Amino acid sequence: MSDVLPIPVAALDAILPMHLRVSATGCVVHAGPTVARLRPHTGWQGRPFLEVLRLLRPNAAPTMAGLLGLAGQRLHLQFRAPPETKLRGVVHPLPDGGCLVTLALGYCVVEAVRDYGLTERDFAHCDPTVEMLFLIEAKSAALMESKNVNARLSAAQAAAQQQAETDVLTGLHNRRAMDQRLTQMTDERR
Amino acid sequence: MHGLINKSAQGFLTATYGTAVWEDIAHRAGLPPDGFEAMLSYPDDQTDALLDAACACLDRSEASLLEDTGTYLVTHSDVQPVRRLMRFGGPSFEDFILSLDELHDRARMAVPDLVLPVIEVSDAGGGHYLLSTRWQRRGAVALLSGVLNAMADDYGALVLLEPGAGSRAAQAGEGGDVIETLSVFLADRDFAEGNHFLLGGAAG
Repeated sequence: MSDVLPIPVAALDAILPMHLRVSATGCVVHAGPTVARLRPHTGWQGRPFLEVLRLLRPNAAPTMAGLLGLAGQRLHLQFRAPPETKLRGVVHPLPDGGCLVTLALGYCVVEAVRDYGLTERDFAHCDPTVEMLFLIEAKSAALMESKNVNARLSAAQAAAQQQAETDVLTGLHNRRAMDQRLTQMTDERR
Repeated sequence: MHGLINKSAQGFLTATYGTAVWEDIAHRAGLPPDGFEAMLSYPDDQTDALLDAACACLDRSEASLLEDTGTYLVTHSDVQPVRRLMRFGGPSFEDFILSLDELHDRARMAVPDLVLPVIEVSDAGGGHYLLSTRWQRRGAVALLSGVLNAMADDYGALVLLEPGAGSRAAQAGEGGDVIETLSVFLADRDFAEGNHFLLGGAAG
């Protein structure tokens, strides 16, 4: 069985919409559909990979040979032009001397989805990003509700405390309040 | 029943009929005037008492109240996150209908003790869908009808809904749930402009 799989570009675009194919000379020869949406004005075609993206980590010679030497490692990349989104990437060498770079938005995904107006169709069907965005919104809404409950309970607790220490008839502090204050004062003197 | 569901009914009644009517209903139902907290759970008979009192007070059927509660959930500004969360169902209204069989799991993922109806969707072709709901009480189809009508507006689609005649108790082994059915006909998917939905468009 051959260990080279001939795969149509369209299929690769669907499976990995966030990939770049880089030639042996270090220029982008193809951008997956979602990566293409990250640089809508300048595009990618023919541009040197390392002129579009800065390699933040690991520290390596910014050359094509240097890039190929990092094959398989997790790379931290950042766009040189705004929006200066950070990306994660992994380099996979190709038989033609070039490489395939798979990119991911990592923790910048929420900002990136907003900045680039990404939609559900920009993510591969096996990519759980949309589900994650759903969860972030659902959890934020649930957390907000919980905060509201806490605020109401804490106000009710303060009101109950106030009532417990006040004489209903005179509105003055009662015996319980006096005991608490005396205990507090004797504690302070020690 | 989860507080979110009880609180939705409370929110709908307060927003539609005013605080005084709500307090009257709450009093009749033996509930405190503040009603429910969204993130707590309540015994099921409190939900029954609330709906019975609301029906008696407003002289409306439970189904019509639940349907309007469903619409309120999607359209009212007090509960804005719901519309967005529903729109995660898919880019088109067809996708949205077909995503309804995930609704139960999606809700549980967000709020683990929230039990929404289990919905089975079958695509009968030609824009016809048959939905079957299973829930711990009756009324899932009424609630869902309100949600679906409002979501159709949101997507700009035109739908015709027809609830199945009556409901039936689930078979033994299904936990005493109630099963109801709803026919959905998507008459026009591009009936109106619809509202925008941006994946990254949540405020804050």
